[in-house]
Amino acid sequence: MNCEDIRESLLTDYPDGQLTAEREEDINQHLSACVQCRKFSDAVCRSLVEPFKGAKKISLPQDKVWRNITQRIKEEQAPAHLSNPFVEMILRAREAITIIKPAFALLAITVITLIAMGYFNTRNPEVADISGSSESDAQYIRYVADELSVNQSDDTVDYGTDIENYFL
Amino acid sequence: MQDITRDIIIRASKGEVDAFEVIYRKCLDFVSNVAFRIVNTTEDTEEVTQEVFLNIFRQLNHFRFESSLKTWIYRITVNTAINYSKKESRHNYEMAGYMEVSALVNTDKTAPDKISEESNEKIIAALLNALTPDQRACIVLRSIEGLSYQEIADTLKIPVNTVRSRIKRARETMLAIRKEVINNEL
Repeated sequence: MNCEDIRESLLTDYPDGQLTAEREEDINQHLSACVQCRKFSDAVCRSLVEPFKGAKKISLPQDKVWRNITQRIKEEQAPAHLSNPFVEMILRAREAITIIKPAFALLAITVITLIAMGYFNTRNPEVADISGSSESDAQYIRYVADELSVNQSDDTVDYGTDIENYFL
Repeated sequence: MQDITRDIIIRASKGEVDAFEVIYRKCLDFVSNVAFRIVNTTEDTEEVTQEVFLNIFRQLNHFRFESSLKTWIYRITVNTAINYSKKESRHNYEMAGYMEVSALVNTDKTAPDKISEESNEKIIAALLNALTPDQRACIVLRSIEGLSYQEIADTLKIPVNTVRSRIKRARETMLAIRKEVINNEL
């Protein structure tokens, strides 16, 4: 065992009593033979371990701290809207929506109906074209009717005598 | 701590303040002392201690009796105090530690073998002040509270070797400060 091997233990497990009995005995043997490591170990114990053993204990005012804690617990257990203005605003908005619920429902139905109608028209363009085609058909029918009436009137043209009518 | 029965813990976890007060009275001393050493200022200790007990009250319904209540409360105390220390950024590392220890050595010249309680407190504060909050937690739990490395590992939920390496680095840092002071004195 050399000095490097035990330096980590001299800073950690050895002064903290965390070693196995066997490992501790090995280190003790090394320390009895090595002045440098013994000095190092003594410095660690004296400067870094012993001061903490004499650390004083503080004592807080029990009742005062408890009062503060219970006060905080009460605040946290209180309804949220009493302590949080943002939550309060949301709750008020919800209440308002509840009050106007029938009007809101009527409005919603109207809007949905209008949207559905618009959607139906866009989905069936041929329906929209029917009126246009009916118009042109009607014009065509009127045209044919006129022609017919003209032809019919042509049939009644008088070319003169029966013979003339026959040959002409 | 042994006086805190399972029934008290269960009642407190359900929000019974009377039951929680029993836990508070039994644990206040060690909670406040650990919090004090980690935040390392007396001014903040009361505030952090209150926060620790509020966290205990809020989280007690998550306690599953898998570890001892004391270990669980140590964990909440250390975590709350470390978070507070990091958030507040009130710790000036090595240089501040050196300055404080240096001042202490000057005052102790007349009686080098016998350090008064007040001086010892200043030394402890200066040494802890040189450490990171994580290192400080390990040193406090080991050197002041007397927990084993395994108990510290269980408390902080870290491997034992991490506990060992944090203690090693912490002591190297503290030793460097002390050496520097001593060299300056010679």
